[in-house]
Amino acid sequence: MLAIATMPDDPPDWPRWLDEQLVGDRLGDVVDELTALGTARTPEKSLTDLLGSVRAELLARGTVALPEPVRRRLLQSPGYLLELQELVLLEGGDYWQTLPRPRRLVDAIGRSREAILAAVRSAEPILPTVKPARQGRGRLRWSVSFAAAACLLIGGFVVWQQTRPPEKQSEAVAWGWAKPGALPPAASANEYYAALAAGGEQWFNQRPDDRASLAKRLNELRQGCSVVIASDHPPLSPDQQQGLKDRCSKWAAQFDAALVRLENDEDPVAVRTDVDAVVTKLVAYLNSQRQA
Amino acid sequence: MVPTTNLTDAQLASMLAGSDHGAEAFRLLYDRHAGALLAFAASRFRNKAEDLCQNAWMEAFKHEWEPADNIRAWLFRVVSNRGISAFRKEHAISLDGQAEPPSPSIDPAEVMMRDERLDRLRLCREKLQQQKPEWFFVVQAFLDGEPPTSASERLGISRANFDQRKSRALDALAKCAGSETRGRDLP
Repeated sequence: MLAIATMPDDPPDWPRWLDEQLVGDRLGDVVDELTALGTARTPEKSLTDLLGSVRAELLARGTVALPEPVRRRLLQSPGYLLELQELVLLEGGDYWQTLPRPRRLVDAIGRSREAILAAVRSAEPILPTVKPARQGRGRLRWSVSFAAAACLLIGGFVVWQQTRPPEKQSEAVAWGWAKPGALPPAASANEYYAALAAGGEQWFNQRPDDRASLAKRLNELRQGCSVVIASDHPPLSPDQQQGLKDRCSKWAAQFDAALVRLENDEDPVAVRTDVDAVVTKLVAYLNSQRQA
Repeated sequence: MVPTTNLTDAQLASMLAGSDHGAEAFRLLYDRHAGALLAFAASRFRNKAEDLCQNAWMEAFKHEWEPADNIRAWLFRVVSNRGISAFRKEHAISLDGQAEPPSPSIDPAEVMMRDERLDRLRLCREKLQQQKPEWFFVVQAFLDGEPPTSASERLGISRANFDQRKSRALDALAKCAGSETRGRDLP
C-alpha cells in the first residue's frame, strides 16, 4: 500500500494526517510518492521563509496552524517535508508528543532497547583487558566511565526486569547472537568467527511453519543482527569488525524484508525457505573468514 | 540525585558516568528520545534506521556530555552522518571496482530519492496517464492538495466519483509499483 493512500478524503483531516506522518516512520515513502507521482516542484524559498510568522504556532499546535496555501505547498514541494520533520522532532512542543506512533515504530524502539542492553552486556568483559599504564588519559577515562555505566546499566536492567509487571516482561532471546554471552570477547578471531557461525546455525534448530511462530523466530534472528552491529568485536581487526557489521546490515535488511512478506500474508514456509538460504550464506561467510 | 522524568537532558546525561543511577538515567534518556530518533532515521535511511540508531545510542552512552549539549540534536547528527557515510560507501564504486572518494557535492537527500522504487513509481505514473487518464487527473488533484469538492467540480464529476477514481488509481499505482516486472501494465 502506498503511504499517500492513507491520506484522508476530507481536507479538514489532512493536517492531522500530515502531523502523524511527520512523527512516523514512513515520511520517506510519502516524500518519494509525492515526488514521483505528483507534480513535484522545487522549493522556491527556505522552509523558514515559507513558514514565516506561523512557525511558533506550528511547533505548538501542528500543521493545522498553517494557512491552507502553505500546507498545500508542502505537498507540492515534498522536499520541504524532511526538513519540517527535523524541525518538529527537535523543537516541537507537547502536541507533537501526543500523536500516535505506528506499531512498527513502537516495536522497533522496544527491540532496540533490548539490543542495546545486550550489546552493553557483551561489551562488559572487554574492559578489564585495558591496561591503564598504556592508555592515554582520555581513553582511560572513557573506559572507566564506560565500565561504570555498563555495570550500572546492567544493574538497572536487572532491577527493571525484576520490578516491572510480569505481563510486560519480554522474553530474553535464548539462542543465536542475541543470547547473552554469544559473542565471546576473549576469543581468538577464528574462535570468534566460529562462535558467530554457530550462533547463526542455531536458526535451524527450530522449524516453525505457522506465521506467528516464524515471525517471532525471525524477530529474534533480526535482534541478533542488531546485537552484532551495535557491538564492538575486540577479537577482530578494525577491518574485520567493519566487514562483519556491513555484512550484518545487509542480512538484517533481508530479514526485515522477510518479516514484511510474512506480514503481507505470504506463505510462511516459502518465507522460511528464503531465510534459510540467507542464513546458510551467512554461516558460510563466517566460516570462510575463520579459515582465512 | 535520583533520575526522574522531571530532570533535564543535561542532568540525566551528567549521571551516565560515575553515578549510582547511570542505568536509570540512560533508560530515561532513551525513552525520551528514541521515538523521535527512529522516526528521523527511518524517514531517511529506511532499512538501516534501526541499526544506525542503535549505534548512535551506543555512542551516546560513551560520550562525554557537556551541560550545554543538545542530546537529541546530537543523536540526529550522528545518525545522519553515519547514514550518509554508509550510503556513499555503498554507492561510490567505480567501474573498475575501486572505491571512489565521496564527493562533497553529493546531496544525500536527492541521491537517496533516485532509487529503484522512485523509478518504478514514475513509470507507473506514466502508465496511469496513458491508460487511465480519467484516474490520473484525479490523483494529480489529490496529490496537489486541491480540495476534492473544487477538484471534482473542475473535472466535471461527482464527489463520490472523484473519491472512487482516486481510490482505484492509488490501488493500481500500488500494485504497479509493487510488481516485480518493470513495465507491467496497470492492473
